[in-house]
Amino acid sequence: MRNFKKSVLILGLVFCGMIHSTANSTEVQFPEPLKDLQLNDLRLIPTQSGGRIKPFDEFARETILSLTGMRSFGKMDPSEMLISIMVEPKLWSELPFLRISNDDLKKQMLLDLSQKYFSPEELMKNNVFLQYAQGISGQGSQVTSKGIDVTTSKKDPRTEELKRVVDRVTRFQALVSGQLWMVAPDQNQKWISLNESMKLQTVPILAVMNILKGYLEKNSSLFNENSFLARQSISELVQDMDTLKFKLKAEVLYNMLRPFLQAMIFYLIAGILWMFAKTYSFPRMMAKFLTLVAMILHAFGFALRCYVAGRPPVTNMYESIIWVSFGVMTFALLIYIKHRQNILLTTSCILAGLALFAADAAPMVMDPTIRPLVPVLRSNYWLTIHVLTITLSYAAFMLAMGISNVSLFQFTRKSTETVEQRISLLNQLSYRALMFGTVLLAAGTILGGIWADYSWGRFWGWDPKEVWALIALLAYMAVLHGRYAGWVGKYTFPLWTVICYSTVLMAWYGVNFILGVGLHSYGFSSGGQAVMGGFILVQGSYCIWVAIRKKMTSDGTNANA
Amino acid sequence: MLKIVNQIWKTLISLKFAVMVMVALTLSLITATLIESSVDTRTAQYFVYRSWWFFTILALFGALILAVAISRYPWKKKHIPFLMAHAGILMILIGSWVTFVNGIDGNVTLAEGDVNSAVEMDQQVLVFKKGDSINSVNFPWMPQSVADRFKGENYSDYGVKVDRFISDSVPKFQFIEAAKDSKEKTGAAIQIKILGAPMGGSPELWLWNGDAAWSTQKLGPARFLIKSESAELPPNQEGEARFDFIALKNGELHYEATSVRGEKKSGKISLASKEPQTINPGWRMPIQVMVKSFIPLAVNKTEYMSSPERTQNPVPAILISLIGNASSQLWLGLGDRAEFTNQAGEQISVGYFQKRVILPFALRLKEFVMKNNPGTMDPASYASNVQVVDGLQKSQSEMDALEIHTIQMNEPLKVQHYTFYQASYIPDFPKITTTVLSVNFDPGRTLKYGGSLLLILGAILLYASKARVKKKVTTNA
Repeated sequence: MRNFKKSVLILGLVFCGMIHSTANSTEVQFPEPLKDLQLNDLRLIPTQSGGRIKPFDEFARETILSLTGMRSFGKMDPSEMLISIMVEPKLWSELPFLRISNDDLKKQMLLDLSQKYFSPEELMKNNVFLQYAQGISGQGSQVTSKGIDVTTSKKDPRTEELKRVVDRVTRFQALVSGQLWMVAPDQNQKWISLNESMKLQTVPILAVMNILKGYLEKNSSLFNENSFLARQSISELVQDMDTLKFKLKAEVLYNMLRPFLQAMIFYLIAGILWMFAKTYSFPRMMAKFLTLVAMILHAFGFALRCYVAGRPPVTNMYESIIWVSFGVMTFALLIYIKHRQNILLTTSCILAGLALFAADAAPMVMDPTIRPLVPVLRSNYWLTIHVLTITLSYAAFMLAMGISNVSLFQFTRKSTETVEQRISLLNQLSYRALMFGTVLLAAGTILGGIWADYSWGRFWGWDPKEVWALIALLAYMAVLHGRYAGWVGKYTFPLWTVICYSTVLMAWYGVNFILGVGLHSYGFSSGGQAVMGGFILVQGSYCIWVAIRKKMTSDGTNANA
Repeated sequence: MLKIVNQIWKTLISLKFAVMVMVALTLSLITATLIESSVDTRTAQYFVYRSWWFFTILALFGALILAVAISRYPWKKKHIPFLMAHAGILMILIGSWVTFVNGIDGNVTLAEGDVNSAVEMDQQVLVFKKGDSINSVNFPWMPQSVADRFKGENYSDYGVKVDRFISDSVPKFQFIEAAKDSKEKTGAAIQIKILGAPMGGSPELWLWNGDAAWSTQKLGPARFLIKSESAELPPNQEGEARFDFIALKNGELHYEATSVRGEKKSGKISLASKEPQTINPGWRMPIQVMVKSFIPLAVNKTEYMSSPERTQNPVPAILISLIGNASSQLWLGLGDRAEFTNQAGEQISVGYFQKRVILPFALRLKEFVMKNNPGTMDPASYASNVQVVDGLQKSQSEMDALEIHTIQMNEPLKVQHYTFYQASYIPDFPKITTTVLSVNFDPGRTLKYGGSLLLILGAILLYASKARVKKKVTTNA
C-alpha cells in the first residue's frame, strides 16, 4: 500500500508540473495590463456571437480561444486583451499569439518547429498560407450534370489545421476592423457590428468608442465610466433583458470562478488525503471537508452552466466529462454508504480530478464553449434522459476500472491473508459499480432506441454509437456471466474489468473522435488521440507489470513453501 | 438420436456457450464498425449486419436465451428476475425480427406543391415492363470487391441479362450522332451549362429527346426540357420556372423560357457560330443558359465508370444486354431506364430503380419552413407543413382546403399506421423548397418496448436479490 501511495504522489507532482509549464509563456514582450481598470462592466456588456446573446467576457474568451487555443492568454484578462488588440492592431500583428499545433504544417510552412505561437504578420507573409487562403475562397463543391457532388470527404489533419490557421488570421483581421464585435441591436433586434455602426452618434456607440479611446490613451477613468455607460445603454436596446441580465451575470461568474478547475484541485488533494484517512484523524477531516467543497463547487458549476445554456449539458465531450466525473463521485458515495471503504473515495476523487483536468487541459479538442444545439438535439425529454443515463453508466464503469486497478495492484504484493481479504473486498466493490454500470448502460442504450424511434422512427439502426454501447454492454455481460460460472476469478475479474473499460472509452470517445462515422455526427471532433493512446499504453503496461510481479511473487512464495 | 439432442440442449444451456456467443457477437460488431469507418455503411451492412452468419449468431443468441430460461423449469419465485431479464432480451430480438421482415423504413421526397405517395426504400430493384405487365425484381447492392466476381444474371423471361455491376460509379455522359438507319433509340440531344446558378458552381447537363427519363431535368425551382416539334408540352407546375428547347424537323433549335410568374420569352438559337450561345431567360434569379452542343439526331452512349475517389453520393450502375446479342450492351445508372426489342421481337423496358412502396394515401407539401440561429446561417429548426391527400380529392382548390399538419424534429405525423418524421431537406438558395421525410411502419414496436421494460426491471431485481443473498451469506457466516 505504501508503494501505491508513493506512486500516486509522484503522479500528482507530474500533473502539477504540467499545469505550471502550460502557464509559462514565450519571452516576447506582450503589453502589460493597464492599471486601475474596472473590467466588470465591460465583461457584462451584452453582445451577440455564435447564435446567442452572451456577455462580452464570454465573447472575448471564445475569440481568444480560437486565436490562441486557450481561453485566456498570458497575464491579461481576455476582455482587456480583446480591447487591446482592437486599439493597437499594429502592435499585436507583430506579436506571436496565433497558435499552430500541427508540426507537419509548420514544416510545410517553413516555420520554427519549437515555436507554438506565431504573429499574424508572419503568417500573412507566408507563401503556403497565402496560396491556401486564396484557394479556399475559390473552392466550391464540383457538381456534375446529374447533381452528383464529387468532392471527396477525406480529411487530412494538416489541411484541417491550415484551415483553422486561415480562420485565426481572418478572425484577427475581422476583430481589428471591428467586424467581429456585434455592438448593439437595431429596432428589429438584428445586431450591428462596430464597423457598421462606427459613424452613428448614438449613446452606446459613443460609449464604446470612448472605451477604446480610454484604453488607447491609458485613461482608466474614461475607460471605466464608459464601460458602465455602454453596458447600461446597450442593455436597454436588447429584448428580454430582464431575464438575460441574470444569465449574463451567471455566465461571467462561471467564467471568473472556474468552478471545475477548483473542484479538480480539491478532488486531487482530497484523493491523496483519503489514503491516510484510516490511520490519522486530521487527514480524514480534511479529506471529508475538501471532498464536500469540491462536490459543491462541481455541482454549482454544473447548475450555473445549465442555467446559462438553458438546457442540461448533454451535447459534447466537455460537458459529458463534467457529468461523468460527478457521477463517479456519486457512485463512490453510494457504495461508500454501505461498505465504508476509504479506497472508494481515494479512487473516485483521483479519477474525478484527473477527468476534470483532462477536460480543462485541451480546450481546442474539448470545446468548453456553450453553443446553441443543432435541431436534432433540441427540446427533447427522451434525449436528455438517454444521454444522462448512458453517460452515468460510463461513470460507474470508470469507478469500477479505478477500483480494479487498485485490486490488481494487490497482486504485486506477497499473498497473505490480509491481502487476499483486501482483494476480495475490492472485487466486491468493483462488482457493485459494475451492477450500476450495466443496468444504466442497458437502460441508456434502450432509451437511445426510444429517442431514435420517437425522433426519426427507428428503434435500432446499427449506428456505430449504438453498436459500441452494445459492444460495451456485451463485453461486461460476458465478464459477469464468466464470473458467475467461475471462470473469471479474483485475478482475472479486475483484469477483464480494466480491459472492458476500453470498450467504454471507444463508445464514449472513440466513435466520435476516431471512427467519425454515423448519425451522431453532431458530436464529431478530432484531437486527443495522443492522450487516449497514452492512457491505453499506461494501462496496458500497468497490466503487464502486474502480471510479471504476480508471477514473481507467486514463484517466490512457492519456493519458500 | 436422443443423445445428440440431449448434447445440443446441454451445450445450449451451458454458460460457456453463452459467453462464447456474446464474445462472437462482440467481435463481429467491432469488425462491422471498423468496416463502416474505413469503407462505408453499405459495405458494413453487406458483410456483417445483413449477412447470413450474423443472423445465425443472433438466432443462436435467441435460442440459447430461450433454452436457458426453459432449463430452469419448474420455475420458482426466485427465478422471476432472471426470467424477466431473459424474456426481455428474447422479446427485443423477436420484435427486431418482426420489424426487419414486415416493417417499412424509407423516405418521401417532396417539393413544395408536390403530391407524392411513393416511399423510397433502401433497396434497389430491376423493373421489367413487357406489354402491360410490370414486374419488379430485387437487385441487391454489393461492394465492388464482390461485384468484381459477379458472373452475370439472366432474366430469361424478358431476354435480358445483367453483365456487370459497379457499386460506386460516375457517369460519363456521351451522346453521339446516330447513323441514319440506327435501330437504337434516337432523339435530339443538347448539352447546356447553367451560369450564375444560386447554389454555386456551373452545373452542366444533357437533355435528350430519345427517352422520357432524359428529356427533362429539374435544377432547383427550374425545369429544363427538350421536345420535338410535334410533341405536346407538359403543363406548367405551380412555382416552377421552365426552359423548353424545341427541336424542329428542319434541324433548327428554338427555345421558350417561362418564369415563375408566367412571363414568357422565346427565340431561335443560332447554331452556325462556333462560339457557344448564351441565353438570358429573363428570370428573377440571374441565370444564363449556355448551349454547348446540339445533336439533332443522337444516340445515348452514356457509360458508368468506377469512380476514382470516394464520392459523397455514389450511384450504383449495371451493364445490361440482350441475351444472345453481346453488342447490345448498355449502362444503366440507378434511376435510369432503357427500352429494347428483344430477340423474340417483344418490346421490353428495363429500369434500375430504388425500391418503392406506394402508400394508400398521398402527402402534399404546402410549405417548408426553416429558422436559423440568430445572426448565423445555422439551422435552428426546420418544419414541413403537409396535407394528407387520399385518392378522392383531386382539384387544386379541394387540396388547398385540406387540413395542414406540421412535421418537425421530434414532432412526427401519424397517418393510419405510418409515421412521418422530418428527416432532412435538399439545400437550395434563396429558399429551401424540398423536404425529405422519413416514413416508418414498425409492427415490432410493442414487442421491443415490452422486452426493454422487462429486461431493465429484471436486471434491477436480479442485482437487488443477489445483493440480498450476499448479505444473508455474510450474516450467516
